[in-house]
Amino acid sequence: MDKNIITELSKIVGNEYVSTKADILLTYSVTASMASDPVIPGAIVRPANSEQVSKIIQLAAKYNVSVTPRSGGSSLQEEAIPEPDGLVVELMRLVDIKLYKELRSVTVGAGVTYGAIEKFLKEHDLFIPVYPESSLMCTVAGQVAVNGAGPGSSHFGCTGELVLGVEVVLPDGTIITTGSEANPYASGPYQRYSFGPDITGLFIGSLGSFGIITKVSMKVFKRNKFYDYNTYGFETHEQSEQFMVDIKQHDINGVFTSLYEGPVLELFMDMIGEELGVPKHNWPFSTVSMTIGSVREDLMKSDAALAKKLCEKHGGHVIGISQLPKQEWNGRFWFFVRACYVHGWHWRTLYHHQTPTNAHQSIEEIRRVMDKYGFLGHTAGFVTGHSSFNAYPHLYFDPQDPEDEQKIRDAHKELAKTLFKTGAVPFKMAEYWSDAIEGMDNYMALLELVKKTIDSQKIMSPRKLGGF
Amino acid sequence: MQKLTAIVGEEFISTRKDVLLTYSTSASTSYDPVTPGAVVKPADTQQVSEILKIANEHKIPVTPRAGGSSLQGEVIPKNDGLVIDLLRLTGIEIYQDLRSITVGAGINFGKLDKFLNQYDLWLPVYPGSSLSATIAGNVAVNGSGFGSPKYGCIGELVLGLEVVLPNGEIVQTGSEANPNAPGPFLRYAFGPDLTGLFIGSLGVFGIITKVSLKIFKRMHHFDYNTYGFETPQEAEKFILQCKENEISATWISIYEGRILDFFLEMVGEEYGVPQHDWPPITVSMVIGRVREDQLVSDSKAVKEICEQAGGHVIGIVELPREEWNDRMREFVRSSYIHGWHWRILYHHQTISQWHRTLEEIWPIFDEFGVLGHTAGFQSGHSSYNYYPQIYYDPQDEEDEGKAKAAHKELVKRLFKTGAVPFKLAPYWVDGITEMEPYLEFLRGLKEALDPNNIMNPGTIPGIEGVE
Repeated sequence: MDKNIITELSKIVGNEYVSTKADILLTYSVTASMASDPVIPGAIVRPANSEQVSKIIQLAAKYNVSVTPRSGGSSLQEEAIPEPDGLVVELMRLVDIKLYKELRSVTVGAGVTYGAIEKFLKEHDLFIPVYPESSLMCTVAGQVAVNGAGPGSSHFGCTGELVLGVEVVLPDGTIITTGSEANPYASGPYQRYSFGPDITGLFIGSLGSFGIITKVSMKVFKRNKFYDYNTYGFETHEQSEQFMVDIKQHDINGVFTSLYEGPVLELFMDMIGEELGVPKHNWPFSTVSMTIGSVREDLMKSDAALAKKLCEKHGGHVIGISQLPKQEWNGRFWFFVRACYVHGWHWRTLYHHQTPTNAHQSIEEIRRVMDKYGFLGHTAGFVTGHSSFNAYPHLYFDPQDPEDEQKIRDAHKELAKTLFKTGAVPFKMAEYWSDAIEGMDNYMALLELVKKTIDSQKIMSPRKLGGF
Repeated sequence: MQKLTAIVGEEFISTRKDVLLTYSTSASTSYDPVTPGAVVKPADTQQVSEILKIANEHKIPVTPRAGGSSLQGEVIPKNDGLVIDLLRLTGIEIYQDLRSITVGAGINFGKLDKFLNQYDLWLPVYPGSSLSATIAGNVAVNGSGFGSPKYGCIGELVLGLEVVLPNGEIVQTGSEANPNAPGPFLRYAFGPDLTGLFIGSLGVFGIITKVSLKIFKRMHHFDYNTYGFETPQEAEKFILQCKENEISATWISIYEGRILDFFLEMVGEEYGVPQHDWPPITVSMVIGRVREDQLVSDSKAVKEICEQAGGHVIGIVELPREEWNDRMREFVRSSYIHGWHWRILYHHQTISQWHRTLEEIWPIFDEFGVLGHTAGFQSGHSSYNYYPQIYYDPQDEEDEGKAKAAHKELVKRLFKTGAVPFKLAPYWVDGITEMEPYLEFLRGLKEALDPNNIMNPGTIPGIEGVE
């Protein structure tokens, strides 16, 4: 990278917080995204605050350098892989937390992880009730940029639904705050839909394409104190899927409702069943593992009793093994990460959403692609909000075997296409989705127009959004 | 006119004086009528698209309109402009397994409620003008109403939109952007969230032709009660505690004593509310639940919370019950029953700042010598939706001038208390300060999406280019 840029960056953040050392660049050339090629950036800069971020972006614009914002680096779909010789803006120093108890909200800097905020909020008997399962390193701001979901989403929806506003540094360096805090006199974040149209949404799932999120304001809730953990067995897809719909329809507070097909659950239990203390069981065709949570004990008990009735109404039976959902919920900060790495393979993932009644279509598609390409994989998922189901297929490969890895890349590409045809949707328009979609020309044209308008120089996270 | 007639047929286009006069006004009292050049009533999205292409080509200002019940001048047309009346877009499609529904821009809340009632379902946010307000119109202004304490504003229920952009292109947002999707099931699909751009957009980015929304099982178990407090802080604390402890309130309204007296003077007898010496602050609350045991639990818990906050249970149920049962027209009725005209100033405060609006309003009324009041309701996670009304005699120009002046000043002062509007209506743009980068950002989007500035010009004046 041009020496002048480095010098100017040093002036903004100080020598200590900018680096072009080969080992540092190597570190930032990868993320948790497996099966993606490392790319060596030109420099790493670590700003201390939003004003520094603003100056850095203005500098990048002046020299026409592409910018990749990064925080925890836990994203799985190449979101934080930099551009060759580009600039990585690492946001982990933005660690401020401000709680607004009376507004039931909190504002966090882009460097605050779910682990850090959980620890902080716990002191106040509060929580942000959606946990990505890489919570110990994943930041809240990063999660908003990719719009994720996780344990808690079955009741509270995706992360985007908890956002009350964001502070963003736009590609020209302008800092704007959205939501009620757009009013400089506001006592804090209390209403996302302020000064409409809602521009907060533009940054949710934006993959950093429109600017750098430096702060996010989120709804917080009183911590659930009372939980019921149970497993429910079904003999057909239809039974378990209708059960999931009915749970929502009857206002049962399932904070985490997962669905496992028999063979997938067997594979899963082979890996971690013993460690989790889940008893051996002859699992049925399909299992729903559910954690019900509430702030009041009688509500939780009422929900648990009704869940059993609804299970039987749909032809299922209550399995009664509580260790699985209990470990899923108690391990919500790392459960997924653990389950993903414990087997030692590498994998590509392909997050997507189905309707709950279409969950089986994802299982069928991944099985078909697995057979066709001859690889190992699985998919499970969980209810995410009003009527969606988040599936996370895993496609395993041996990282030492380039042929095996290529097979997975090809299978992944095909799977995105066939999933799209089943009516599945992604939270965000990641690059590989742009190859998979058909019949969305006007949508893509609008998205591209918005991108051009906000980032005319195309310096922000190039190619990440829809391949633009 | 010829081109438009070719699109919709002669029956659905008009330049007749009486028709234009009808479309020169809306429910927005205290706004000057403006006579449009023509009114066109398309039958479907395709026609809307063709109409916009022509308007864009000829640079004709376009005002989309549905029920006409908006109160802040949103559908007052431009002089010689084109009004696109969307009431013929009356398609309804229900997706029971997806817990969602898609409605055309001509479907009002009353009609939809009747439809969903057959399935024991509902769209649980009701603007107080539900019998004329359309869902699409409510999304464009982003409203709230009965049901909002639990479900938030209408924007939070939206799963996707079909929008015709100013250039005539039709865009579908949310999960239905995938043409293979079985229906609307997720707003946050193919992110970034483009749906939000049209929520509270006042029609400046295009015309919403269809809205997809979350629907829910209808509640049949309700608890109605009133709670008395000596100070605003006690009432504010009470409501926060209710929210935190999962009390499923579908309606929470806080009344200052004198405002409640005034309100009951108008509708008390009709609602059968007994005479009562109301305390300084009264909270009128409806708790709604799908299941009876949940309701029993809430009713018990709420009383404990009330007493812990220093209040007492008044026990008069008629007020919240009649407000709720009358939810599709209550607001309209109480707003017109007195025979005055009024200007309104919707805004949001935090729950804990509920008292701040009152502190601003009374002095302004005195300063400007106008009559008025303010009431409101809790709206979502932690906000409170206020709707101050400033009354005037429409026959008395000086009186109306006073109301307008008071309204203008009130925006400025409310802004300084930290209040926010759902949307950037014209008078807010005048009242806000220190938000130039925010407006500049919107200006860029407006120019990109609508380079000829045909869509509802003047509705968000601060984001339009220099004239």
